[in-house]
Amino acid sequence: MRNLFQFFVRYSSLFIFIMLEGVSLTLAIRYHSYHRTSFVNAANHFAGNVFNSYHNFTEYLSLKTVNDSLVRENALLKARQLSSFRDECVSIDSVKNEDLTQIYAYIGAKVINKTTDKANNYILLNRGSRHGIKRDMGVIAAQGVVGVVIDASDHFSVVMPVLHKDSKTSVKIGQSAYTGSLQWQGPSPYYADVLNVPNHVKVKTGDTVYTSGYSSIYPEDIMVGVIKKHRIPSGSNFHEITVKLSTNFEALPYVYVVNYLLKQEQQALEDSTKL
Amino acid sequence: MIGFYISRVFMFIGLVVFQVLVFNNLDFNFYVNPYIYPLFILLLPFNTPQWLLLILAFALGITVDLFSSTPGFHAAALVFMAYCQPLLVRLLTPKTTLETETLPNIRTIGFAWFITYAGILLLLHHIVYFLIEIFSLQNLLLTMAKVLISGLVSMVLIILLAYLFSPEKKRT
Repeated sequence: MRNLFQFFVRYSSLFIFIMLEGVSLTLAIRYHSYHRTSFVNAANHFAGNVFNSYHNFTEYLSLKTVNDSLVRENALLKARQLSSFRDECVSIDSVKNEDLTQIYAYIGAKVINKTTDKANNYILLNRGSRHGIKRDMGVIAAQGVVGVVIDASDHFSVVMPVLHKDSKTSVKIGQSAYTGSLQWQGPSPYYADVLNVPNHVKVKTGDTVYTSGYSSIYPEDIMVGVIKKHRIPSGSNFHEITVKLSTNFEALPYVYVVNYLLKQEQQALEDSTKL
Repeated sequence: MIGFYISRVFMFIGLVVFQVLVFNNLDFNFYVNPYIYPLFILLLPFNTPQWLLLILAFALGITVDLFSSTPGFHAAALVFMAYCQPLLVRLLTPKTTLETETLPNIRTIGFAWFITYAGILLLLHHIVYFLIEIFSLQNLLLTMAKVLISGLVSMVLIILLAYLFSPEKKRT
């Protein structure tokens, strides 16, 4: 018994080492093995508030760029207003405005912390479930797609951006009906790859890539980027496409969280047919 | 002695703030992610009990993790580094020097010694950290490039900070 006790005292630091290392490695491995888990729940309130106050402190530094982007976006929205269109339809049974149903709503949010230089990046927003943000909502910015909400607390939410190895976005090439899957392997935050586009599809450098709207996460035709280069590896049935992303993740002050209003209905129908 | 503990508490907080709000936000490049918070462990007195060393390393690592959304990555790397620290000190120093020097002060202990000491431990820390962050053995070359480039930048920053934290005092 005394020997056993001495044994423990002698190797106490080794035991502490194994215990602490075990705890941290368990956390790390759990993060890597369960798809789309985030660490924010344990830490969100404290860390979120610290980042929020730090952000309030440094926000004015980027006001000029923010204003510029808001002005550009306002111009775009003005151009899309109904008053900017003239009704050219002469037939009587034309589509009336009352027949339009709103299916997307947007929640504006500020980016209060983000990474772009890691193997798996993330973005922290200053809006949470209290403002209507839920898991699996899409996130877009003025220039293009950003990512998917993976976790939301009361006041904050965490976004898995395109710059994450588990991120898969359904996209289409130009206006064609062919879809592919946008994925990112790093290291540059400016480029991503489009996979699973069959080799008979005509692809040109400079073609624009849009979201396909299949996943009920993003609306259709949100810009993703422009094809930088493409090739078909010998013996492969698929293109290898590199896309220059239109969203600049390094300068991303504001984003919009997409609330697809018919999501529940669509999912309920999909689930009922899966039986 | 109380003053020493208080200054170390401030150093702990200062390094976390510096790491989380400044260096984590720099976004230089995929290959350049400097980590300066291990300096806290590097500058602990040599006669710190090993259990305390490990617990401090875990506390510091998990605090940085909380603010970086990286569960356990920094804690695992720093605890590993802290476990290797006494072994390395014993390996690098003859017994007589250890008795006279209890603090790893870069001014008094010598630049070459400090570089070897900090360099090896930082390298270990960065290897463990980036292996966990990338979590794949496929792109080992990429991982090692990241370790070396980030490690070099961290090393330069840590040497500058070590001068800042080492009071200039004449030894009697």
